[in-house]
Amino acid sequence: MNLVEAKQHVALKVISIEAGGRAQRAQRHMGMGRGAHRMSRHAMPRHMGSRRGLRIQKRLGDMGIREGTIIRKVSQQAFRGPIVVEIGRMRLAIGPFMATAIKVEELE
Amino acid sequence: MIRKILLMGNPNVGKSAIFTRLTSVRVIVSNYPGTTVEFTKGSIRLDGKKVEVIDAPGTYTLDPDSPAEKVAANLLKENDPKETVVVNIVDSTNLERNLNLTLELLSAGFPTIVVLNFWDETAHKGITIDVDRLGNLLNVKVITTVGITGKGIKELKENLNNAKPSDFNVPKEQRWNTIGNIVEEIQTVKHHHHTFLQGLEEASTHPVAGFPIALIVLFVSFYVIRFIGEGLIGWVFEPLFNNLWAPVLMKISTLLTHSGFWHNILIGNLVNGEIDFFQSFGILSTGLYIPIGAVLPYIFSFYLILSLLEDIGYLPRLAILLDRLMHQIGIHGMGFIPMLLGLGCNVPGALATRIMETRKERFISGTVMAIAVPCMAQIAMIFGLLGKYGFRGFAPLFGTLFIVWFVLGKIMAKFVRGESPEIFTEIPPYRFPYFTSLFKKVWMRVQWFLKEALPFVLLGVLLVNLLYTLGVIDFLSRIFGPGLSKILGLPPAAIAALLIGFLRKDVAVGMLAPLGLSMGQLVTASVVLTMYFPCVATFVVLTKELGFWDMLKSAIIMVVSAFFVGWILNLIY
Repeated sequence: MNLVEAKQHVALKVISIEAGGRAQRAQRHMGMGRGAHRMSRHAMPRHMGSRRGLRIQKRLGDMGIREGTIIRKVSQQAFRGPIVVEIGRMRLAIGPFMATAIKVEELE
Repeated sequence: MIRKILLMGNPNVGKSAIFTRLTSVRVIVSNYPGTTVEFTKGSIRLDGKKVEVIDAPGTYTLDPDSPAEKVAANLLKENDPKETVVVNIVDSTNLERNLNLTLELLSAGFPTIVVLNFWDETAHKGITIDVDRLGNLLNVKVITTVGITGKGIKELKENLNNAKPSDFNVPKEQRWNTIGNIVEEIQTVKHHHHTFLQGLEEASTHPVAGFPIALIVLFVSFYVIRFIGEGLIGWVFEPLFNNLWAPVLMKISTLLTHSGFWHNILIGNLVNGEIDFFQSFGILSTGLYIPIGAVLPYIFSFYLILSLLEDIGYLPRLAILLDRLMHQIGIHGMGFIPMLLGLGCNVPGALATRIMETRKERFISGTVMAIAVPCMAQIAMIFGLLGKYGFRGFAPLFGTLFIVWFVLGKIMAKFVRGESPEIFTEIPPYRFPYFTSLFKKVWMRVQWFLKEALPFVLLGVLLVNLLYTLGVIDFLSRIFGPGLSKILGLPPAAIAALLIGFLRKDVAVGMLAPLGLSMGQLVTASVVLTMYFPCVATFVVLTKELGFWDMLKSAIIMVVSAFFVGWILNLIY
């Protein structure tokens, strides 16, 4: 289950962070522009996907989210808007596509 | 020998409050060479010697993701570890995340002091931290402070001289594990109940309740801005100008025999034998009245409210609510910050495009901001002119600008090449603002306005008079006037306002006053003036931000869309 699908106000454990599956569709939003996206369809989708994944991992890591971190989903805006999560006492707004890359499991 | 003190830390850890506490009253805001993210410099006395204190932009890591974070990282690279002390400010209610930067800083080899700020909040939140233990583990001096009350600042000052580099150095891969171990060892957290403030925090990002709250906040803000602005004008500045300054000017006018070259330059035209601060257009009359009498009150009230919202921590929440709307124009929620700052003055708005990560986002946000967001100076003058029509006058003006903002943004989102990343930002807890540092910020912004705007306004008014006297304006009106009246439905004399608009938009709006325009013409002229080109100060900064070629593209978009929209407005009215 990824962060978009997860329940709100429940302790969630991050299992992995990877830009695969639905998150790959998000390349355009995660950093690949429309033009580049079109190009990547012919040239290097898989390669770009993994590089995206690394960048997501780094940015989340800088904020303290990595495998094993316990987080809590606080709110989610309508129409696939940003998601607010709580890590310790910090709150973070994460876009929906980055959130799909965060795989979690519910605790308790 | 300490020469410099660098305050480093994550965003929203109360660095500015500590900075304000540490330094003397005189503070200089400067732009970082090459880039334009602001950092603040001040100084303190240590053992009778003056030492520079630099408040670096907040960053999560020394391995930066955005240009603003790059500034912080470069500040560290450029300074000599022998002469610089790093004061690492840490949010003690958020130890785990903050320690990442702390460990990076310790590896950099500077003499370092770690400051645990917001120490009073740990008690409310049920957190206990073993400070001595933390100091021993990291081999560095750790001090607890409360920036708002000034607790711990004295101890910090006393320890600056004894700061030593730490030998604590962990490889990058093990950093988070180490942090986990440290936090486990020194910190205990008790469960605590939700407070009222936390309830409010949840509500203001709630997908449903958030919107009415945002509407109320924005409505109240604009109401208060207008109330303070008009109040200051009506009760302070107008009486001052009318009762004290006007008689002085009349004396000078009499001395100059009410006519002649110098009278025109200094006093301008008398309207019915008296000075009209909107219409006379002399350097001493309108030239002083526009920046001080009409615009300054609004600048002050705008920045007061903006700084308040900033310090409370509401803006990132607004960014989340607006994220979907902003994505329509190809930028994420934080992109509304340049727009909001642009409402005060387009120059800081253009500077704020820096917080966006990609070229595409910076191009779109810079361009739509310069086109569709009028600055407070211009708005104040428009209020002066259109005020008598009330809502009937303002609605078509701001409505048109909003439609232009949206449509142009939508088009650019489609056609500008490049990346549009998602929102990714920390949301600080609500905090009561620290008023000393709030007023310092407002004062710095007002001062900045006076320093930047006053010379340009005076120059603009002087130029207007010279161009009229030399017949340049008549000449240009004769050449461009007919076309202008045909497309925009404005009298040929309005060309002068468009010319001066490049220098100062508020002066340009002031030049419309004596033309006796109808409401429709005033709306059209105001819209075209806002859109067709940024003022020279914004133009320079935006060129620096976007680069020459992107600015050229942006400028073409501005001119074309301005005259197109002006033409449509002319057809409607």
